[in-house]
Amino acid sequence: MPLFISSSKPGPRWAVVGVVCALMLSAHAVMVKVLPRPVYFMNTFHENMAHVQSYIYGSFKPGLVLAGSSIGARIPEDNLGEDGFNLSFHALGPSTGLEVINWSGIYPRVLIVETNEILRPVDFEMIGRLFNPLQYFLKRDLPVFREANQPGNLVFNFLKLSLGNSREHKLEQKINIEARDAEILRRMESEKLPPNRDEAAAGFKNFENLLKPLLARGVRVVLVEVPIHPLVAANPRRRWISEHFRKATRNMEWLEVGKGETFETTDGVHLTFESAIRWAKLARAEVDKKGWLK
Amino acid sequence: MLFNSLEFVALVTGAMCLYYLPPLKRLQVPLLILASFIFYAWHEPFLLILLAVSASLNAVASYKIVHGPPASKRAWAWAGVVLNLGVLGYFKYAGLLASTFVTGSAVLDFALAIPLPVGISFYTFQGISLVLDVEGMEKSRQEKNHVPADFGRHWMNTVFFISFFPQLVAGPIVKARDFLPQIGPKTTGDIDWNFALEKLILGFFLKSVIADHLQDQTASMMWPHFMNGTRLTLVFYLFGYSAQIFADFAGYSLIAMGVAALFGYRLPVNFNYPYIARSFSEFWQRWHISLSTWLRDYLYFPLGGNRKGRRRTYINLMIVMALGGLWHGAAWSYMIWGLWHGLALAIERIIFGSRLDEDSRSLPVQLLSMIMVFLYVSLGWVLFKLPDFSHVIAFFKALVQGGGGVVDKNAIFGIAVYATPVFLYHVYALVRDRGVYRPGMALRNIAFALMLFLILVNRGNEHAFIYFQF
Repeated sequence: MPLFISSSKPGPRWAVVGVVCALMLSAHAVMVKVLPRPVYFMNTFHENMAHVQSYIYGSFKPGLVLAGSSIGARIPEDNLGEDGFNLSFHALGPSTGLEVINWSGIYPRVLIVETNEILRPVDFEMIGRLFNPLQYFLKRDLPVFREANQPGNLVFNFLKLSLGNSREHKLEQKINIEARDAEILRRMESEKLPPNRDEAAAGFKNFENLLKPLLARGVRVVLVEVPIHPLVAANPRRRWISEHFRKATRNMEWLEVGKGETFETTDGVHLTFESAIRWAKLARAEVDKKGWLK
Repeated sequence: MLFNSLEFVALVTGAMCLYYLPPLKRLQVPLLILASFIFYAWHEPFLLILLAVSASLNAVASYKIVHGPPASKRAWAWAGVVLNLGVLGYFKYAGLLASTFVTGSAVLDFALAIPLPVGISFYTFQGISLVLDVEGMEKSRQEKNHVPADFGRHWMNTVFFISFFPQLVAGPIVKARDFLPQIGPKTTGDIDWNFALEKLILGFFLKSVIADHLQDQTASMMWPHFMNGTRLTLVFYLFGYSAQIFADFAGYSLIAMGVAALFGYRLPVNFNYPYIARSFSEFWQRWHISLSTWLRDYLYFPLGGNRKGRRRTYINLMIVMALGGLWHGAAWSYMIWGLWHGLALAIERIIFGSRLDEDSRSLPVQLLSMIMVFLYVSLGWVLFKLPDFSHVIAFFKALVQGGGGVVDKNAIFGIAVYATPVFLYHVYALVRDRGVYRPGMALRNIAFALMLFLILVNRGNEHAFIYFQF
């Protein structure tokens, strides 16, 4: 095996490669135009990117936005109302959603912030990838380059839909009790210590700073804790964060949703589909009752 | 600076535009040094000083070997080796040694605070290669024109050799005797466009499309998430990670080769379809070739190689592989990984001797050997993914017993989709090398067009190259 590979100068070969590539791009652009927008994604990164791109590139003007973590991401957007949008991200926190709103300049009238994972920092890599000028304008004007429309996601989405995955299917899914209990025990073990006070204080301050431009724009910001399993909620870490955050934000509006109701989780923190639908409807009903979107 | 970033594209484009301007022809080497320093300093400006000082000291040592007093040549060679190992030992291993052997907290805190410069494992090894190659050439009285009498010029060439940005932070480890003769004026006529474009497209495909997607799919292979995985899920994670680490590292090496070719330089091939290896010794002739040949030439042979009896051969293999493993990272799990491979090599030698002829075996035996080598190597990769050894044990336990969770169908699908090109890449080599089938130019063009298309529209989440951490 020679160490160095020698090769001849190119003829029209790379022009042919370029033309074939361009044809593939054109065919893909047609597919993107024709096929419905994917709803299933192979991984959480693409799911996050696809969702946030529909927010920043869509012509939809949201009345109500929910910003949160994977806990908030479980809330079905359809049940937040016709003018509702769920800007929650898997594996991230609400801070990233707030940063997206600030960067995009698309301000809702009411912003519900899920505070269960309030200390998760902003994912600046994601923000950079979204709002880097070259990528932003390229993906805005040429949807074929958006993460949602990647061939891998289109194929995955097609297969998922073909195999009968649907809203009804999600409602029928049973909780794996063993897996849920194992996950609850794991969380109880990993969350038995309160967070570092200085880091927590910095996280709260950072959140406050992210809210300032939104409040200045007249956005009504409402805080909420999505219900989780009582044993997980009672973890020293979560309890500490919840108590101290409520103290730090006592001058802000808190929304109590589903008091007295029972909600189920799949793993101790993430609501089942049925519970998520119920919670979403209750949250929307509370917002409507208070007349915030009139 | 990531290869798959806009800043890098801008750096290469800008450097090329200036590099081939006729008025700047005499400044080509300083220009590439400047580009390399910008590349390195992009994220670690302070540690650029270390790189520059290390390269300069290597220049002095190698210059003295050739042009210094005859009595001091050996001493300068030793000084060069010790200097490079000292730099590597201090910046990379002080923390590990302190955390293992030292109990005083002040010393430990100091050691753990020492920064780990990106690429230090690569450029110190290139420095060692320089002084030893120069000493070797001097001993055999070869031409001296690779170490010019003008120290300024030699210093420039040395800094260029060590800091050349395509291979600076993740290899391939280039040998001085292969690179120094290439240094000279280049024109656009020296660019082998076919070679460069093929390497760049294949490299970016493996990295941006395959490895970056697989990284997201194998994200749950971290502790404690894998504890919830079923056996099937964990098996897919295992093979997915094998495909990922190959695509990541081979992709990087190919990009490095392609970029270097744009400036008229040839870097050595670093991967030769490693997952079709039929023995462990063959695996190490196909995987990270620049490292394995470096270890062979500068460690295994000086230790005696296989010339001092069978028992000494096995010991040498274990030493070389243990140190080779430790080179990858400052954690004992990497040394264990090296010993994992050393053990396989030693046992293979015990059973088959030193002249294992893979080609002479029947096809079914060869295929079975490939599968066994691949399985063994894949199990070893767990030590890369999980540097904490207790997590490695937990993973293997979960692999055997299964976790309590559900099958992660999304991850399995994703791994199956993105690992398939790696599988096909190796199958292509199998059928090509056996003369079964050799694709024509039309099919090759379609393949490159498809890879280019997928690079444009199907890239994964950008992650740093796995080997950047070494």
